[in-house]
Amino acid sequence: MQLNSPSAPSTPPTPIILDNLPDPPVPEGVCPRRTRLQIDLLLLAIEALDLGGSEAILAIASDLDLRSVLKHRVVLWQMRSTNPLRRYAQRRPLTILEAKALVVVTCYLARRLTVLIRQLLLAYQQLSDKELSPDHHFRLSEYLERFRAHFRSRMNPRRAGVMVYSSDEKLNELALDLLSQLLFCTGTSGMQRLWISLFDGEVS
Amino acid sequence: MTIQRQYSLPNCTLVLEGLSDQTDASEGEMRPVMSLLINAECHLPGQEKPLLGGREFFESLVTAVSLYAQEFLSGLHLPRHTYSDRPSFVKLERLDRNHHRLSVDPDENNTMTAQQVVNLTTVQLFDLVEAIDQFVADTQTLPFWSLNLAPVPKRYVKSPEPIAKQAIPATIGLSGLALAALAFVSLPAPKVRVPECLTPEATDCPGALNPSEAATSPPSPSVSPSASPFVSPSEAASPSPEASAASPAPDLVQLEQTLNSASAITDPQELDAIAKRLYDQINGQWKTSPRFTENLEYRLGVAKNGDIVGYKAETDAALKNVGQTPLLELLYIPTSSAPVQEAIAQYKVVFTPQGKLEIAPTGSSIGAATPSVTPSPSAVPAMPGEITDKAQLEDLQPKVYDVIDQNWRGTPPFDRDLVYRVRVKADGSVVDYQPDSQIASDYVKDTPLAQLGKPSEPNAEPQEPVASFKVVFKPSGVLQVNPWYGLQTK
Repeated sequence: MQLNSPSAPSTPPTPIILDNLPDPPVPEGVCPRRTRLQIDLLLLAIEALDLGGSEAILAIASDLDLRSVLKHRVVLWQMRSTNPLRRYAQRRPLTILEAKALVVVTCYLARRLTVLIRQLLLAYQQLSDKELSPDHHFRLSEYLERFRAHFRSRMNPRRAGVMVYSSDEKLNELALDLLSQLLFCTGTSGMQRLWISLFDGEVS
Repeated sequence: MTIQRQYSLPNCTLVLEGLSDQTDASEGEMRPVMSLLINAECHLPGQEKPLLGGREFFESLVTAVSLYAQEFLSGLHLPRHTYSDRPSFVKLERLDRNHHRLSVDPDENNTMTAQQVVNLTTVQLFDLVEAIDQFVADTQTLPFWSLNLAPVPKRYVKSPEPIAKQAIPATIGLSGLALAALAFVSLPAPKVRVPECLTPEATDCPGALNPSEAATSPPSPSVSPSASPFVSPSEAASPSPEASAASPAPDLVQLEQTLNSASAITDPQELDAIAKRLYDQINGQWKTSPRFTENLEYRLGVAKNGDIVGYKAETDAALKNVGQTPLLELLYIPTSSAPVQEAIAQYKVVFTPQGKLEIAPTGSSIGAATPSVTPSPSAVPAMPGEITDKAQLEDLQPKVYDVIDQNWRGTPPFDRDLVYRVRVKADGSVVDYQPDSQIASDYVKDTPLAQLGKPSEPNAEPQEPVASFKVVFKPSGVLQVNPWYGLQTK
């Protein structure tokens, strides 16, 4: 904590773990829409995988010394609510530093869930090869059901971006896409890969 | 000295063979640095022979896989030529949600090789990515290799619209119905007039308007020529029989409902307040820096509460660049195709390339109400025989609430709000109900309305005065009852 990175001269010292992620050249140093949306959805998928997911986010933030950024529940909620599709979407921007902290937490949580993520993806693979619906696998259908419930309760159904996911099938597809993305987060360079991909098409 | 390094994952094994740098290798070192690659083997499931090649092959593999992984994460496709000017042996493409195809071109210098194609599942693809990442992270093997990850610049991205956005235009059709449909009605039937004057010499004939002129010319002289395709509700409230007969829109009933029920907001104070809210709303969401070069001008229909119920691009540039404005994001899409019941105000909204946002109420929003034939907007929606008296409605409201509430039992099995228009007699008994959406219609058996009343028949005139209430059943068990037309003070 005492290491004050020269590249980020913000007043509280930048947690050292965040230095692994480069600063993308985005205007005004705040996250574009797709970044905010994607981070929140990945966390939503983690919560659907793991019942204690939302508690785990704060717990792991403490473990990783990220409490200076992720101070408490309300701050976490405010940060996640910068997702424009949220029911109570916040107009505040998401800073690059905050986004980094969320990405680090996402990847650590995903890494803990590696076995489950692989199992579910393999199950989905086998079911779709046999042209069976994901409902045939208990754990997979449980994940999808929880994801749909989380999504519907937290996203604003009036937003065009949410309307697209009005059917169970569409939401399942989104949940499975997020699950595959979480798998990639578990890798050796998963965190860097995820972080960079969040700014694809957003930098000039 | 030849060294071999192996990176093993459940679905992928990467074997690298190379030479260590003699000068650099200190004696006691357990794991010397491999500094020159000779051979690379990549074992993947379903392949008898591994993918095999030298340095060029391996470079190509690492680049292609790494970039594909990024593409997979961001969902943005990148044209190949932008990240490498060298010909690539290795290609990756997506087959479907869960399958990816890796193809390796034959080596030109070695005629014995043939093109190899491997289909990978997402998990297998990940193992390949991970094997490569472990190699890159290994400081003792080709330490000068790095991932060099960087976000794809805007200009290279082929389809900047994520799938979700591409699907939006279809849904806009629904919400924009009220407004777009109005435009249809404003089209008079040119074919009725044209046949008389088909010959070119009859230019002085009054019917010889070219179709586009005819289309934009107002149907009656009482409307000012500047009337936009956004026909005001009062104008449209009495569509000429000719216009409705010729209108291509099949859904005439719904259209007329919309026209009759959507009234214009004309109170200047209110218009001003909505404009402020609208400005905050759009400005708050407008975060990207403008990439367009001319002003984008839109006409917006806005409900009292600030919801944008529809928009229309006024210029081609505005239509093309709507994705750069927050309008799509802010557009209110009703949960059903039911016509817009709320009054709307119209605004001209201009996005300038300098990043400025200008909002002004349009003239038609105020001027629209001028034709005197139609009754005042607030009176339009009320049917004959409708109870609109404020005191009476206030009196009825708790009665209606109680009768529905007392009959509503059990846990709600639905997960969204159910909205009904319920008509009640002066004594508070339910006459009939009309579901506001498909889901409301599906779950009507789970509400007390099914026992208390009957589904409404649109054409049946009520026998006695009735009052309409908007009744909302929430999944949480909350019941809301409000006068359908609001409370009008006289």
